[in-house]
Amino acid sequence: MLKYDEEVLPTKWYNVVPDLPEPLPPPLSRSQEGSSIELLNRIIPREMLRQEFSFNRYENIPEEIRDLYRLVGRPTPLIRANKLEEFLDYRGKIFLKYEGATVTGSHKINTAIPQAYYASGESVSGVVTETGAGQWGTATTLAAALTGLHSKVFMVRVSYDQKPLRKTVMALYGGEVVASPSGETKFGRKMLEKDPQSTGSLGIAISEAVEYALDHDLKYMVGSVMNSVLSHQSIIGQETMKQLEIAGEEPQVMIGCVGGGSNFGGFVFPFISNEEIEMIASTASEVPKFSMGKYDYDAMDTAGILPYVKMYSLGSDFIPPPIYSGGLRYHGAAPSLSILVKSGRISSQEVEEMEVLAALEIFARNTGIVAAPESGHAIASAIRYAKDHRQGPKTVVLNVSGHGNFDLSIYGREVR
Amino acid sequence: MNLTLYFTLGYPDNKSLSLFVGKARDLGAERIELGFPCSDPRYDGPAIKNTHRSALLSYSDNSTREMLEDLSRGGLSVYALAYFSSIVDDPGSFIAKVRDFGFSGLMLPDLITDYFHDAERIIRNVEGEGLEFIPFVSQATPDSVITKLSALTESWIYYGLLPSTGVSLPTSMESIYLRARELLRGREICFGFGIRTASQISELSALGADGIAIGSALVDYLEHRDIPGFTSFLEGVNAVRN
Ligand SMILES: Cc1ncc(COP(=O)(O)O)c(C=O)c1O
Repeated sequence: MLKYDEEVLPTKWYNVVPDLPEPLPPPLSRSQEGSSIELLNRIIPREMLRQEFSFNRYENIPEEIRDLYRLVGRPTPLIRANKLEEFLDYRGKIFLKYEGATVTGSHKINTAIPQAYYASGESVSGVVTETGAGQWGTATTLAAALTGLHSKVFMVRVSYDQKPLRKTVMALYGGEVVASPSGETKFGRKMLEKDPQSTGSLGIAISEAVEYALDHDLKYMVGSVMNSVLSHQSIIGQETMKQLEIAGEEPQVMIGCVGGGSNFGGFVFPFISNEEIEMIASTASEVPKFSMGKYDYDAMDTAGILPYVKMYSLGSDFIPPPIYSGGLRYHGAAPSLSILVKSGRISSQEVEEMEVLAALEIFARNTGIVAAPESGHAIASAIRYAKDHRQGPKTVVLNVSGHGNFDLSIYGREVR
Repeated sequence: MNLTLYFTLGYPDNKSLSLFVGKARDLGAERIELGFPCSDPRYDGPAIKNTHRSALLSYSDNSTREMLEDLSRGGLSVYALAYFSSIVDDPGSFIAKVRDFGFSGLMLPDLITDYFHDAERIIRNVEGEGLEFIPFVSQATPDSVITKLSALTESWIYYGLLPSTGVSLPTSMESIYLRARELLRGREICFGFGIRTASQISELSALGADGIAIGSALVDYLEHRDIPGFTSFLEGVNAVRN
């Protein structure tokens, strides 16, 4: 192991809750029978649940998990985007943290590994989850393979049809992929009855995965939104902090994209106590959760099996337009992030798909990176920022949550 | 280690409740917490939720007043608990009523979380009426909020171990205890939510905890009006708390 890598790879996960400006509202059970909070004991590994409800500022990362992080390509690079600065005629600096450099192509592997690792320590045969864009499903299937577990993935119908190669990769890692809504769960059948042509949603796919986990005694892998997931993702921000420190740089503006909020939270939360840093959360105009959503208790899944959490939400029955950024189609945003947006500590911005496409092209030509369409929102926001603040000279750090190598069909037609 | 017992007012009925509370006093509980029934006790688990549902019908101001008169003769501290959401329209008269009944103090478990920006004003109102305000904090309460609350109040502090009463989730009691202890130096902390077994109580006691609160674990005895069962449960608790 290189000395640099060893210095950069964190030894702890950071949880932002002790440092929030207001208390985090607890999850609520809305079930008529029993408690949906207690139900989590059946589908989530014990250690994961302990972390979820402990809110310790730091949790040690077990050495076995750090080994797996190294295996999948951590630490990921921090790159100075000087050609982009020139292209935009921006006098400040732009850095990008490139999560697309992990072997599965996104930040999702950062939490898939600990979750699969903890599941494998319990007597279960496999894990099950949902996927929108396919990035989370890919991370889950690899993490399961690396920890000796079987995996099953409910993939939102629209992505299943848009991204056939994602299915191939998941199958290569040994995962079983079905389109959601599917005929394999009660909830899926109900949705299909209502609308046989349903393009699906993350909320529906989550409901199917949770139901399947309960019925088959499997562990459910949580892709975003929950505290423990955002803590696992804090290695993105912690690495960035160390890398900037080594480079002798101070971040002044941090930008990332938000689906459920995990890459964004993981990226910015370790910097939260530095009031000088401006933080911008970029979302899809087509899924305007922060501007049009309500900050209140809502279900994480469409079926309402999981506990309700207080967050910005467009409603758990929200069926998003089929924009290409599957990962940004989720109806809500992590409760901790929601508090910070509500309090004004973090600002939010919306970007339309056409602007994202243009930004991805500029980005590709000036960095070589074919970024994921989700990340394209963050890139578009960074380009906007640079254009509006040409005189700089602020240091902008941008999180590029994934690569878009499986999303190339987005080009061709739309891009000249 | 102090023992606080939680009951919902009016459950299972006013007369039986008086018997249970009297028994609790005789068995050495230091504090009694009496919850005003409401329609949305959102931070309670299934057992206590059920008590609210049935107590909404049986609750009576007169019985509450009589019970408080009875209890205050025994030198026991009795605290009122209410969801702020259920009194939000007129907190002033509710606080005055709590004072008139003779409660020592008031707990509002949802105040800090759901009405964060009103909390300071309400705490001052409660204290202005000569009542103790008992802050309710949990692992999800940020450090800065805990520090601020403890500066605003002088009472003991209720620390919720779990996100809801009456559920069981994996926890590390030791790390929770150490964090609470460090943030609330010099304050008496009472741990509650999810405490039902002797081993949990011994663990907290071994860590040096000041107090525990028990609620959901009592509901079965109340529901069946089972005083002997309740008595032996409390004797068991007494045997492990020092
Ligand atoms: C590359 C990429 N970025 C971002 C997201 C959005 O999720 P989150 O907001 O949890 O990071 C996803 C989710 O699928 C994704 O695949």
